[in-house]
Formats: sequence, C-alpha cells, structure tokens
Amino acid sequence: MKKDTIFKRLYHGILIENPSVVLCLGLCPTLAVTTTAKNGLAMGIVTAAVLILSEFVISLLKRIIPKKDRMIVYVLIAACWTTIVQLVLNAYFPDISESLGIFVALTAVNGLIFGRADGYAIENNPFLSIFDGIGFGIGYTLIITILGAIREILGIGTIFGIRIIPDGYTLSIAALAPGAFFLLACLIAIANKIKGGRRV
Amino acid sequence: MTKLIYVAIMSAFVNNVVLGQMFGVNAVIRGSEKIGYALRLSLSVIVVTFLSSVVTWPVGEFLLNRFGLSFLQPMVFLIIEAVIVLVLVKLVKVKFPKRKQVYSQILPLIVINSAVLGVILMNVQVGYSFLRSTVNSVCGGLGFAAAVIILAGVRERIRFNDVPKPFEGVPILLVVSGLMAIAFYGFTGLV
Repeated sequence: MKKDTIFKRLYHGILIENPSVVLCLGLCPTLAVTTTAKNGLAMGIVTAAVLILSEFVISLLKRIIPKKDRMIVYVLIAACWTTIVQLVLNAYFPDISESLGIFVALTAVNGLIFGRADGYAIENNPFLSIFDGIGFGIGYTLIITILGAIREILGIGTIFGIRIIPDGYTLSIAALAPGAFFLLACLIAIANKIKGGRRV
Repeated sequence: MTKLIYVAIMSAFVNNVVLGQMFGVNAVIRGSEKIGYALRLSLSVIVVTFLSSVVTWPVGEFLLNRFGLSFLQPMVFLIIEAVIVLVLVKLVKVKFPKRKQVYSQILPLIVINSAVLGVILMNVQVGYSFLRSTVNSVCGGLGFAAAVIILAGVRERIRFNDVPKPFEGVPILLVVSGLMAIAFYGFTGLV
C-alpha cells in the first residue's frame, strides 16, 4: 500500500473523494444555505472548521473511544466544536450568523463529520487527520460556494453582491428549494461524467 | 384550535421539513431504498421527534433561556435525543424481541438525523408554546414520513427506467426530490 502523505490527503479531499459531489455527504446545508455565494462560502468555512477540529480531537482520543458507542462520542465532540464556532461567529460576524440561522447549529449533525471521523480519524494519527480535515473541508467549501454562486447568478442576478444580470431577467426557481435540488443534481452528474471518463 | 390545525398543515405540507426546509436530505436519500425500511424509519423519526420535543421544550424554555445559556441548546438537545434513543433501543429489545435487529440499526442513526434536531431547535428558537411545538414536531415527523415514503415509491417505479448514465444514483433522486418540492409548493395556498 502506498504511504499516506499530506499531499495525498489534500488531493483526495478536494478531488477524488470530494465530499459533496462524490461521496454525497452533508447535503442538507449544501442545499439549504446556498441562496447566495457569500452564504455558501461562510457555511463551508464553518463546516470545515468544525470538521478539522473534531477530526483532530477524535484521532487524539482514538484509543479510549469505545467501539460500540462511538457515534455518541462523535456527536458530543462535534457539538462542542459547533457551539464554540457559533459563539465566535456571533461575536465577530453577527450578520453572517443571522443569515445562516439554524444551520450553524445543525453542523453538529453534519454527515460529513461522521463519515470522516469513522472513515479516517479513528484509525490514523492526529497530524494527518488535521490535513484530512483541511482537504475535505476545502472540497466541501468549493462545491458549496460554486452552488451558491450558480444559484445567486440565476436566481438573483448578482454574484457576491455585484449585479451582472439585470433585474427582471432572473430565473426565480433557482433561488427556491427545487432549484437547489436540480442544480446540485447537475453538479453531481457532471462529477460522475468526469469520474466515469477517468476510471478512478 | 384552528391555529393548531394551521401549524399542522404548515409543518407537514406547506413548509415540509425535507422539501421546504431541507433538513435531513441525506437520511431521506439513504432511507428510501426499500419501502419497508422507509416506513420503519419514518415511524422512528416521528416517535423520537415527539418524545424529544416534549422533553426539550421545558428544558430549553425554563433552564437554558432563563439562565442565558441558549448557546448550549444544540449540545443539550443532542444529549437528550441520544438518551431517548438509547431508552427506545432498550424498550424495543424488551417488548419486541423480534424487531430488535431492525430497530437497533435504525434508531442510532436518528441521533445524527438533522430533521429531528432541526425541528426541536426550531421549536425553541421561534418561540412556540408547548402545545404548538408538540404539534409542530409530530407534523414535522409526518412531513418527513411523507417525503421518504413518496421517494421510496418513486424509486421502486424508476428502478428499471433508462436513466442517463451520469444521473444514476443520487442525482436522479435529487431531481425527483426537486419535482416533489415543486409539487409541495402547490399546498402554499392552503394556509
């Protein structure tokens, strides 16, 4: 087996096993908060922060976490970090915290964190786990920001607040819930097409 | 009374937990593989949401909000939810030994289902009364059940269809969910 390196962790997280479009983990915030690119970026960074910190702590504690009840331990660790991140967000970026709403709290039950904790951090050392978290965090942030940007351009006609499509020519369904489902389906299909061609 | 019916219709159909507010999309996609599994999953979600909202509303209102600890809500609610799930697993083991296998697989996954946590957090943060939040939780659970059972049914029907290759698997389910979301917009005029 090839040796696991920092580079490999980042490469896997961002491209090969991209959490949003290849593994399809944590779809709930991906769909819900991506009405604008800024919200998507903020949610991605929040999730990445919680992911990195939780993976680090879980891989430090991997010897004392009981195998049978590990889910509960993951939930509690993720909830601790989510609370801390939410407090930081409330203190320094109150407007972002306002627009993300309940979904910051729901990061504690994001499937991405459990998938990576169970799939990587529980069996590997803390140092590599941090880079696993960074790789998957960047991969997640990338897709959630792209989806936010597409929905913002189509639905509102702006990108990061700068208007590029004049008012009245926008496709309002892209800003609503069904648009999120359709556009994410298209992104995953594009990823499948690329992956199918390369035979990973 | 009419207000409660409004809340019920609102949370089950108009603002469906999965298709409108998009809590627990992953659980719906994973859970809709077979109709039987979807039915059991929805039953467990309804029961857990109901019991947790009955416990978490007083805790949130009288303990956390009163002492200015509302930032601890996710943490405390998750612990309560996990305890309820553990008790239910034990209860199923004692009362229905035949069903033990199935439910001890489904129930632990409910702790990390964002539909349950989303609904019970919403109840406290929006500031519903006790009765209203209980109705909201049960109907939120029913909304989840509606979404997962309909999706499981659609999945049975498209099993042998010719789906374009890149859309196989999750993408086609997302497209189906999107169409269902459009259909559920039709309920908007009700309330």
